[in-house]
Amino acid sequence: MTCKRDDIKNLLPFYTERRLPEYQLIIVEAHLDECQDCRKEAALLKMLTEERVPEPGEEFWQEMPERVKAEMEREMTSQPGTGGRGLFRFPGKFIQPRLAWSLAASVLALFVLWGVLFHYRAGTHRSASVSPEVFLEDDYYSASSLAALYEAHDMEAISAWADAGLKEMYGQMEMVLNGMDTDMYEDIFGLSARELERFRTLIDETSAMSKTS
Amino acid sequence: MDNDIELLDRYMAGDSAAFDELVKRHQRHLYSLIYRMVNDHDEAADLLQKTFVKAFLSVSGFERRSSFKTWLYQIAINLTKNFYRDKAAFERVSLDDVVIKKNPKTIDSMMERQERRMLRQAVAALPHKQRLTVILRIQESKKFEEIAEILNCSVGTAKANYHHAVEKLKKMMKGQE
Repeated sequence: MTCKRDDIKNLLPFYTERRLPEYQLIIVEAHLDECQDCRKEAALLKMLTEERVPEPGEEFWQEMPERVKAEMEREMTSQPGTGGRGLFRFPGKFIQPRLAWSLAASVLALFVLWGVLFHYRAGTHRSASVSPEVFLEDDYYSASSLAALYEAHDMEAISAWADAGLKEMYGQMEMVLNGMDTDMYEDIFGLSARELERFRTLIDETSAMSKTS
Repeated sequence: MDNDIELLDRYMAGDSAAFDELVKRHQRHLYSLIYRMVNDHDEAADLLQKTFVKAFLSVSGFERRSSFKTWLYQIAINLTKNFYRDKAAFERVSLDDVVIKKNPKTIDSMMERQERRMLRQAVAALPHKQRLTVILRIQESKKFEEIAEILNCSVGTAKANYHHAVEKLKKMMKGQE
């Protein structure tokens, strides 16, 4: 029959570890004398308590920090597509997301600004399909809507600029990856998955526009 | 635990000695827990290493609401759970099988090697949370409050899991006294 004395059962682990104060020890032992169920439980707990974990040796403990470091480095540098939290895969390597995000945002912002300025400068000889008046009256132009306004030679110039911008971005990422710009590591974990996804989209759009031009 | 937080801050500031200290400070009790779950040194060593790697690579996700030690326990337990799930070769033994195989001996004979092996099998046959609760409570000497925090459940649930587990294990000993 199962004993319902939860107060005793709660003390049994301490009893098997010999950690009960004298007054509780007397109470528990008196109960065990008359309760077969609790005696079984005490015997079971004793067996479990006595189950020892084999000692792997001092060398094992000493080496563990280095093993962990080596595995962390391997995870961060040599496993495409399996980066941990805060890491983001880009052209075969991992980059710092906050750095990547800021670089991408800068590239895109400069790209759009360049496009607007180019239109002001070249607006007088732009094709008739888009009138300067319409262009100037609009308050906001996305990168894609600007692209629709460009002629072929404009897009070539934009493409060349975007290529150069991306090369520069890659260069900065390489510096981080090679440990030459370690300060940026402080930012590594700051971005959310949504921000990373947005960054990915921006890069894809920029690359696609370069190719289609 | 404050020391852990200080070490974490130092590690995040680039102090590699703090990293070593954190690993050395927690590796033994984590290994003990993992080993009791998998009963194999090589697997336990691998899971221990993975626990630290996962913890340090995602250290920004540690919100410091619990102790660093509790957080490490949670990571180790999740990885061990995945290990069970992924390892098709790891076949759990049903408690009934264990009971059928047992010899009608006395409790004293349960102390023999064969009975110990059967007890390990019986523990391994428990549902995951019950098994963890038994290991944490009896073999790692954790309080129910700590177990509840590690397993992300209420203290009442932790106690219920413990008592259910012990009752199941006792079935193995039925008729042996």
